[in-house]
Amino acid sequence: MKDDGRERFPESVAISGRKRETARQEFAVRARVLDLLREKGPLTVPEVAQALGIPAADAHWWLMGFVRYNQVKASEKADDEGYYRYAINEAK
Amino acid sequence: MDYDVMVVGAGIAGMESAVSLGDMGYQVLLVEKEPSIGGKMILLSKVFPTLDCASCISTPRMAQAASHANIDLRVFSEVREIRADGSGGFRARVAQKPAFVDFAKCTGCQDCEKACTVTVPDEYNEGLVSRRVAHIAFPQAVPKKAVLDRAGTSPCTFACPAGIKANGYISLIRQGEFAKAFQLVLEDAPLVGTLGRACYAFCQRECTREEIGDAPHIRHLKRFVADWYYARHAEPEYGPTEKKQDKKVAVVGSGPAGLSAAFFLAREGYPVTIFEADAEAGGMLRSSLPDYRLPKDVVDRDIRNVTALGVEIRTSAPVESLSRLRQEGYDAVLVAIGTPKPRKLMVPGEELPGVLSGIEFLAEVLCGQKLDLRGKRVVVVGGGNVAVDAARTALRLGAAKVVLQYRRSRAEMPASHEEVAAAEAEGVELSFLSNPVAFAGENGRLRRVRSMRMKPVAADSDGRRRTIPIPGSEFAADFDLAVVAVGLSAEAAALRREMRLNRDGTIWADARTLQTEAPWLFAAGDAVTGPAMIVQAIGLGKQASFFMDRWLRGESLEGGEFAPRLPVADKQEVLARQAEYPGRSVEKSERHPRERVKDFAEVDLPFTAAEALASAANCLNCGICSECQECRKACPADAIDFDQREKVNEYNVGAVVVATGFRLFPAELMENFGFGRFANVISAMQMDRLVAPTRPFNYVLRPGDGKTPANIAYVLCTGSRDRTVNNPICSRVCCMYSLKQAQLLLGALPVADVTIYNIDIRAFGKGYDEFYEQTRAMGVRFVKGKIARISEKDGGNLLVRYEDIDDNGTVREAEHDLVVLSVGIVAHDECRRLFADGSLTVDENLFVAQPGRQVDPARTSIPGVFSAGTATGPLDIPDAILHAGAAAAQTAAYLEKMKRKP
Ligand SMILES: Cc1cc2nc3c(=O)[nH]c(=O)nc-3n(C[C@H](O)[C@H](O)[C@H](O)COP(=O)(O)OP(=O)(O)OC[C@H]3O[C@@H](n4cnc5c(N)ncnc54)[C@H](O)[C@@H]3O)c2cc1C
Ligand code: SF4
Ligand code: SF4
Repeated sequence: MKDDGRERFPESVAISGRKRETARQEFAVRARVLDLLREKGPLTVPEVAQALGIPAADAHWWLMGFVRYNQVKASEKADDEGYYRYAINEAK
Repeated sequence: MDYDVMVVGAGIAGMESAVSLGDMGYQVLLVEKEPSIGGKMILLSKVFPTLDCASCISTPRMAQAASHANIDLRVFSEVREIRADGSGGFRARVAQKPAFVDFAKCTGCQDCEKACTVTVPDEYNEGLVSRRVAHIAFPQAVPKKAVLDRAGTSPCTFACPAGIKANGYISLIRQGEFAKAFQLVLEDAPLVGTLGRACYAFCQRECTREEIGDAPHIRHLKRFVADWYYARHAEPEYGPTEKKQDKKVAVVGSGPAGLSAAFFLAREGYPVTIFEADAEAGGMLRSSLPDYRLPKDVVDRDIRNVTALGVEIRTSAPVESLSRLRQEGYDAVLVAIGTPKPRKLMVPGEELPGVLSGIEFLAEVLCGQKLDLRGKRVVVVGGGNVAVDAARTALRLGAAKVVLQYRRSRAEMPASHEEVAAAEAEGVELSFLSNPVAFAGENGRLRRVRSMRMKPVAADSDGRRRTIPIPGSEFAADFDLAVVAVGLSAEAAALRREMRLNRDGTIWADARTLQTEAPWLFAAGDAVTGPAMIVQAIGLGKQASFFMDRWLRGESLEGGEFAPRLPVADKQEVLARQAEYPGRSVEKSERHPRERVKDFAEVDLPFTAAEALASAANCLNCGICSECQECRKACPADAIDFDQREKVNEYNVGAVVVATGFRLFPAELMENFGFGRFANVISAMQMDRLVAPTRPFNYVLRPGDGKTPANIAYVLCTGSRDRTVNNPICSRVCCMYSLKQAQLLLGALPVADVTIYNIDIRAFGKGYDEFYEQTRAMGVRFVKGKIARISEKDGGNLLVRYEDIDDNGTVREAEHDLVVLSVGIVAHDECRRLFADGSLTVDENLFVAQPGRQVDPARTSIPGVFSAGTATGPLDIPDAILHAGAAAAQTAAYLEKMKRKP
């Protein structure tokens, strides 16, 4: 067994890895997502993903970032399939 | 003794030990490497088995630790080394990491965070959402202060001689903030449009992404913002500054160096007059750079960035005497007269009509003299940028044949390789390893050029190979025009007598301050360095202005540090941040060579906004922080301080408590479970964040597509009790926290199904078994089974394949829409390295060893060093707190014993 903790148990990809790429793209896609929501919103994550041709996981990640910084807000209730709808946060 | 005890790590255990020792009256130094204290507990949802809110219990302890009269708290600090002092105590070196925020000024308003232009995964939310580079760790952070993540200066920014923050403007472009991107460049250099076109772009050469492809087109992006801004602002939006200085400055020469110095001095409030010998301002930009690379309306607009500040430019005003300027009332003078004198080949016939120097030729064309070269044969001698410009210009004037003749090889050409390739594409013929030896005339004009072939010999002093003629290799060819562009030299002309010159005729000035021998006289640009580049001249102009300002204020020039910056970011470390780099290649477009040689219109076509955005999106933010300055501009308390640097302090302490806690098992080591590959397989720490009051999303959602999960599986013992991943021990808390989360989930999602796959449930503490029974009664399914593999279905649901232990090991498969891996606790064994001599021993699982654990808990292999909490092995919060209490008692006993020692 390796007697160095970092070698035995390397840093998890949960925080680094692919998410870093997604994070780097957040601002580059922001205008497209916000424009879409402004025109067609409120939309669910799969709808945003489909409209922009992006993976749903990335669409979710970015939307959550925009919600966090108050650019987008989520609906109060999920639809029957369990999806919330996202719209431009006009209060901002 | 500075402190009785140093506690390393301010999780729940460290805080507990520190507060107990503080209450006993000991002076405590509490060191935490993160920007906030609180450890893992403050990030948890609730605690088992009571379901008390974790942050409600933690925050009072955090406040107590931070404000205790006997505790000195140092967050964002790292213990670098601890050594025994030989008399029972220790010497500790503690580094205060730079937060780039003045904590005394920061009010925790988060305005910097909202303004920040770079996003990274939020480690405090286990990578479920992004955070900004300027950030406050989490809402209950103590202290509630912002920090900036910086991993050095990005290579592009570091490479720029003018200090232009390339990464910064790229990150503003990525946000669609084109005007701000322009302003950021303008802060460092007035000639934005010029640099966006004609700079030889050191940034690009140094760009980390050049190593893996799809690098952002850094210079072209600068051109994009300049064009975008100039199209909307024919004139600068500002006038002279409010600041007013009573000292006057004269600048001799209106090239990039002079313009840049004037710009920065005028911004400081000095009245500046530029004296220019030529009829128009701009120096080489005006007289030597062909329009197809740099249209002159761009130069005009760039110059207005300078004159808008009130700088007066007097053209056709050659300065004959510097001391006269001084007598006329200028308190300081900058000489930035460039290197306008062409070097000669020194061969017969060079004086013939039809033989021109490179800059004479370019200046004639640029000053509007119609040179008609249609059908003519032109040879350009030289391998530098002026030679390439001359050759491409000759083509555009209609020349039938243009040969670029260089005495060395292609690889040794000092010209930009991009420019050479463009010239070649346009039809310039390249001829290497030959040099003219005579120009022969006919009817008083050039007719033939006689040359010799050259061969390389050993390197000369500048490291480049010299070439010498090959005897008997002479050859001749007919040409109508020869352009000799073999370099430039300084021509200080009349001013020469008033300044000390270097041997090559350049002006001598101090390399750092650019002050000449006369204190009031400074010099910058090519006049000092010899022929260089626009961006270097701009950089030197700025540097000179910085020291001129100091000198004019009567400050010493010794003290001032011009443009301090962090060391360059390590490219290999940057590339190691991500496993893969998908890129979207964005090619900049240019006019077809056949078309562009017909006129002097620009070769490079501008980016569209979409192209600019896409090119900028490929930037890797090498320094993490892009230095876009948005946080600094947004901060109402003026707390952002880019010049902060690490400070290392040394302390004498009587004892040490190691409370460095644990790390989470990296779940991707369980390859069959798909963590990191399947979006809907998450870790329990991620789930704890999802159900915490400070959760990253408003609701419990699965990361794959934002759906509310309805059928959730827990996989206990992920990475615990598992020799295949080198972690044979039980992590103690996973069973219980999974039960806790299951109960919380049923509260939040009443119709959801929760299944817990387990080998057995370990519920041994007070009230734990009751908690288990309660969870079962709520409808949570417990399946005794070992998971073999998890696979992903279309749509993101997961198939869990398991051996059903209660059914004789039958292999079954079940579908879930979210899988939570109950990851174990592993050691944070870096604490071993704190002790310079390696004397802190760890057990076989790398937790801090407690040699006499049964009777002497918290004691380590070093007398005077104690360990608290999960640094010693997996513990839940009540046990971690108990253990921390034991560590405090042991420490107190040790300190008392040492006091009584004779
Ligand atoms: C998903 C999950 C859920 C859990 N839920 C519960 C629960 O409900 N109830 C319960 O009782 N327990 C729970 N636990 C266990 C609980 O998190 C731990 O018992 C507790 O956090 C241990 O505290 P600690 O202070 O020992 O370590 P930590 O919380 O790890 O704190 C250690 C601190 O030391 C700092 N540090 C590390 N190295 C250095 C250094 N070199 N210099 C300076 N500082 C350093 C760290 O930054 C950190 O702030 C859970 C664990 C997990 C993984
Ligand atoms: S300079 Fe820009 S990127 Fe860096 S922390 Fe400030 S706002 Fe963020
Ligand atoms: S990847 Fe971005 S930050 Fe890094 S060197 Fe290239 S342009 Fe600069």
